[in-house]
Amino acid sequence: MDNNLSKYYHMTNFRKGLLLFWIYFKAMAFAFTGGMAATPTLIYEIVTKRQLLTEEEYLEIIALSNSLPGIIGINNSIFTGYKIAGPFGSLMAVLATALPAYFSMLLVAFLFQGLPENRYVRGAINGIRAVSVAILFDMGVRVFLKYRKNAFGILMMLFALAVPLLTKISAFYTILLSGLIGILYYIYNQQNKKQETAGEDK
Amino acid sequence: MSIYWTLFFLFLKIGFTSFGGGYGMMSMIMDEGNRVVGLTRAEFTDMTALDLICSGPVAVNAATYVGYIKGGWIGSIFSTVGSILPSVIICTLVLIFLDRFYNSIFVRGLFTGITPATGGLMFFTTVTLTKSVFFNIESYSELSLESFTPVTLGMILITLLSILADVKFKINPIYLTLIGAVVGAIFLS
Repeated sequence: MDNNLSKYYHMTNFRKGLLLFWIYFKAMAFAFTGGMAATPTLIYEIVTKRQLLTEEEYLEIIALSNSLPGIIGINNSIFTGYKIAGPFGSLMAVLATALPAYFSMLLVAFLFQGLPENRYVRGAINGIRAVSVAILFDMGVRVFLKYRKNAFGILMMLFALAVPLLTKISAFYTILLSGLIGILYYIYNQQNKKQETAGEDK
Repeated sequence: MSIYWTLFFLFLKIGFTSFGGGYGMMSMIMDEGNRVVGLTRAEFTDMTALDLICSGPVAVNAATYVGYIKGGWIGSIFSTVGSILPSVIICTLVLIFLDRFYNSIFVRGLFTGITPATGGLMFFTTVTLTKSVFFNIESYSELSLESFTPVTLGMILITLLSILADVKFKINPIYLTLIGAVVGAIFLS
């Protein structure tokens, strides 16, 4: 184990960056249904096999990447790359995450546009669209299950459902509004807590 | 502004404001994509299905797809770079100010509000899609008995069964999509 660690320890950041490109490229190229599908492969390659990071370090990166806006897979590759090989590591990991996603979609979109117009293809597309609606609905259900015991969370969900549906306000401004409400609620809660602890002290 | 820069700024804006990764981005792509580059509901639903058979992050796939159909392969480069840039900027800032960032009331409050709201937007997306995907109408006031064709009923049935399979039995969405395509080709043609 020490042998293995030292082998990568003496590598230059440039060589570590190229290694990261290869690790991320392989993991992402076979991650269908989204970037999260690459997580088990990445943990195996980075933590178990090459010991570039400890498991704890990598799990911290996952939590951090999940809590930030933007693309989780890209966030993850920026942090992991930086921790292992500095800015060059970040650059290589980001490229290796984005390139398979870009070229696979370009190919699939090109093929999809060239599909013949016949009733079987139409039927298959209708079937796929029906499943897509279900998958999107399920994403909402997952968030709901996470917040089902949190009154504020449920209220925010209803808010974000009702506002774009019933008014002309777009999803974009709805999210900005929800963030603003979240900040106000958080500050209000903090002050309540302060007053409570002050009351207990007496 | 040329279509390329429009696509670039569309995905830049979406990247900065979407939490919870690719699926959190979907509502925004449907809504803003429709407003800014005229992405139709049908194009959007095709995108969500195609995302599943492409590798890598769903959000990158989505940006590539919208860029490609609205602005060709050059458009796809602009939209993909636009979708990645917010992550790069935000993560760089976090790497510089990690401690101060996490203790800030504003950032914590922002997450408290936005994370559940993302779930609400997913339901908004579903409700909006059912109009065009099932009934091919713009608003529910146009709904009539004639909207319920056998194909529509078949699609609703597939959706309900897929929700059950997905929520209850946690079947891999790729398989669901493939089954949907086969069932559709046989029964909805």
